[in-house]
Amino acid sequence: MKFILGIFLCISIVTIINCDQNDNNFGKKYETTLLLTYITSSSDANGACVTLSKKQEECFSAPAAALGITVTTSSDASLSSKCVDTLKSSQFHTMSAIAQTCVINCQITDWNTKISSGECKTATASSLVQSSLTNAVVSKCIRSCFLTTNGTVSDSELTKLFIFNFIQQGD
Amino acid sequence: MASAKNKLSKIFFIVVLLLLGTPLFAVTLKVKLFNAKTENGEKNLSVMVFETKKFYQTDAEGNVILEFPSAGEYTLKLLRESGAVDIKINVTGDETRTVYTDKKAPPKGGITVEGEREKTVASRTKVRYEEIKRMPGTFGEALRALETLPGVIPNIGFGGGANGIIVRGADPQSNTYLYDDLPILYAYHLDGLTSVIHNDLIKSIDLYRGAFPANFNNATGGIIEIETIDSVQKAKGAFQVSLWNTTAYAATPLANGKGYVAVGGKYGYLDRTLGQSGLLPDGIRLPRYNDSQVKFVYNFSPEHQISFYNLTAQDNFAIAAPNNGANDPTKDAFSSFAGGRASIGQSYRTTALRYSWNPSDKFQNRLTLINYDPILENNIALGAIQGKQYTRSLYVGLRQDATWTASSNIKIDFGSEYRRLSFNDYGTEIQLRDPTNSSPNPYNTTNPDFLSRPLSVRGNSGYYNAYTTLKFKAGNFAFEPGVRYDHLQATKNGALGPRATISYTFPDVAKGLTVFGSGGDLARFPLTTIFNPETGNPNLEFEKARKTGVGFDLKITQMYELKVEVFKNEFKNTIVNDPFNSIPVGLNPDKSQWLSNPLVSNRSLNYSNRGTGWSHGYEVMFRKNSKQGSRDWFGWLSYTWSQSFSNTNVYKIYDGDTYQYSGIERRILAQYYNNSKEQLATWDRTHVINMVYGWRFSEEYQLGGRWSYLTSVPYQRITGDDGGKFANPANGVTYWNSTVSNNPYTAEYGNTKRGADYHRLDIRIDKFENYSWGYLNWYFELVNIYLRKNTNGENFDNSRPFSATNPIPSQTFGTLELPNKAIIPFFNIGMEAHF
Repeated sequence: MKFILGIFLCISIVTIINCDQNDNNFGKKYETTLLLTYITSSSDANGACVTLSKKQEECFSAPAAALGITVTTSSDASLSSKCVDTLKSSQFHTMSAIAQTCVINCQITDWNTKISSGECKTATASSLVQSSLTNAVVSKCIRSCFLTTNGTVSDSELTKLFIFNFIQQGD
Repeated sequence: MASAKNKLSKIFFIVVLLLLGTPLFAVTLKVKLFNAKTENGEKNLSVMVFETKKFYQTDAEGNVILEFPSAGEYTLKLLRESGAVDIKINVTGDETRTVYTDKKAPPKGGITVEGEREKTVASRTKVRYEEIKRMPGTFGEALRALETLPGVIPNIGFGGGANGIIVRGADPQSNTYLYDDLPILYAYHLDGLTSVIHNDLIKSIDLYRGAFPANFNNATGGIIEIETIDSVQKAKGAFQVSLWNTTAYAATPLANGKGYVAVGGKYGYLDRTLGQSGLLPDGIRLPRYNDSQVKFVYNFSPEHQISFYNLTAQDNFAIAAPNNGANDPTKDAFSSFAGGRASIGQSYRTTALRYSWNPSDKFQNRLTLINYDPILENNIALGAIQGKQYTRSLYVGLRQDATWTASSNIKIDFGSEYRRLSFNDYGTEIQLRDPTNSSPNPYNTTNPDFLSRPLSVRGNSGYYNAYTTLKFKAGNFAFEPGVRYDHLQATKNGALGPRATISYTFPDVAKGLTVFGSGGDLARFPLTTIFNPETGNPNLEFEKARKTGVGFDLKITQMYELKVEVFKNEFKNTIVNDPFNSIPVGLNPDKSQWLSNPLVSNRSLNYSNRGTGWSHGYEVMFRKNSKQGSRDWFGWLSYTWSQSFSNTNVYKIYDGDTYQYSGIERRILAQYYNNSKEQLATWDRTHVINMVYGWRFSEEYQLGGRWSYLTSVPYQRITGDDGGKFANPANGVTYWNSTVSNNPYTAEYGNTKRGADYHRLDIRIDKFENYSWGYLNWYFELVNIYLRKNTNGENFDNSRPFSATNPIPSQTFGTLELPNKAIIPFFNIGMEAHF
């Protein structure tokens, strides 16, 4: 009898000890990944905005520069001041700093592409603006800023998120 | 550290349990000696246990308490005036038993209680086929009688939604139906009326509502254990015809009684009767279905038995709303959905070969080879909803179940199973872009509320489980701890489920008072492919439930019984649609883009285990059992008070929250800021009352009655419409999409509204005509005799804007309207021929 009980006891203990180990710790890994992604996400929206403005200035001054004409560029301080105003505008003021930075970074990439491809030297100002607004890569990039996984940003909302600081300057 | 402490406490717990298992007492058997000829207990009869030479005397009802030094086989000498009669009995432990001292075939319609293996006393209700097969309001479907049991909330309605029962507040999808311990995908056909099992194959149904024994698995709701006939003494058959289906059954003994075969089947043709009557709108093809059950048993010897099963069921339903072009919503019931179509199908096949080895009374083992093949299909097209999906989750498994009587006090059940899953899921899956959206619009073309995702998933996985239950009994005390472990290899996840039942019987209180309590952890994993690593979440865990309950079972007399139970259930890890759960980088779920865009960032996992819920309540069942082997009346009154709550715990963006966060911030919020509100579950009903009555008052007639009362289910109040922003492109009819509150601080938010209470009275009269070849059973069933206009939720007409008359309470079926507008009770007439 005691032998039988002993066997049952052993089986039960081994079962409980071996089986009560949850080998699925996805939840913890997921949280870690989330936090790491969060803390490595840039939130310097003003800095990004200044960079974008500079890129736009560089692009628009490219034809003149190609002709050897010296173009005066705006100072960081003035660009930063304009950016403060831009980021306070209606389309950005309800947006988090990370979201603002992400949206602007998408546009920096776009203008970098324009500069490196030589488009800035040949295209008109309006066509440069238009190409940004209709560029699927930029749209996708901006959408991904807000995409949780299945999130949505409608086309009408999207166009409001483009910054063209040089237009505001009247350049 | 905490984990180590946990383990130590578990070990200590097990040691204490097993030390308690030492036998302490001799065996006591409470016996009722019942004479089937006289239909009375053997009163004041002297009984001698031959081996111990001890004498006993039965009381006025034939009850006697016998004592034995240990378990084993004994001879009872019944010292009648006409002479002594020997009866051999096998004593295995302390128990209550009825011993028949004389035999007589019971009359037709009479109720015979057959022997059964011991089952848990806690949170279980058994109904015998004879008690339920002619229950009114079930349309002759014995399985529907489950709705009248305590702790059960029925799904009211007609059609696919009426298929599941709610057991103690659990999701209706979380029950498990077992047919002789074999899986079936669904219990009711798509018409919501008809079960997938022929009535005549059913011997009894046990409903486990609480922490069910460890040999059952894969349910956080209830276990519905359907036991089928286990002997066929002579060839017999049955044939039944009704308005919507025909059923047939045949059974015959084989090989000089060494075996038998029983076959049942059903064919539904509602689409060819009611569907052709012209009463339904154009475009609806009512459900078609069929099912079959085959059971073959052969006993090589008393020790060796094989059995073979083949169970099938098939259902399909289609609707194609015609585009009449009239654009007149008042004349076209489907104008809002014109051009839309949907067809759904479901089927399963369970094939099993079982070998039972019974070498002695102390040990039995059973091996079952199972091939289970469930299939689900849909093809839906309505505006932005475009999907066509085929899902097959086949498995082949080998299962072993054994019972070992270690001593007169201890019995051990143990078993294990391995399944090889083979799943195949392809087509286009429909998904809500935002699962928290309460008012998705199928015609929203600006920003579609629905996604169609290509799907092509194939795979294999292993699944194994093991369980053991220790059944310890000492005198009137019983303690049954058990544990089971389930592991799914595809998700690398396992679930440990300890559970226990404890009870004590006071034999001197009336005819016996048993006080009991039970508790345990249960687990379930839905048989789908949502764990696939391409479009689903391979990290999903088992859904869990912790169930506890206490109660008592008082046998007032041999016939009357009162059972009261209080319960609390907690549900966690419930699988929900989760739009935020993702992995940083994953394979593109759309395989057609694998060449151009193989990887995507933040690949949605679509599902998570965030869902929780809880329920609590109490149940009362007062039951009058029929006199053994007689045509006595029987019935029960059951009352359940309960509350059920659920919470998806999925982050929601409420009205007024216009702040724009980046994707990562939303995911952080979703993970750490739980703003989802706990709500009453959509199936919650506070009060459920059922009165059931059955009486075979003569050889020719039987009368049955049933009255049900249910609190209405809670639902979200429709508060307006979207202004008719979109129209059905097929006919240009404006589609008014209903809206509900998305502000958790308003009274309208969530499932806060209930309609009028539901109640109805049903009556059934059976007439039996006996012939030399068998008998005919004519029946007439009246549903909702007092013409109560019961409702279930609200119905919004999308062809009209929100107004005082839109929405209106949604009527449930239960009455019929004649051409002259007169209302009569719903009725059913049928005939069964038994050969």
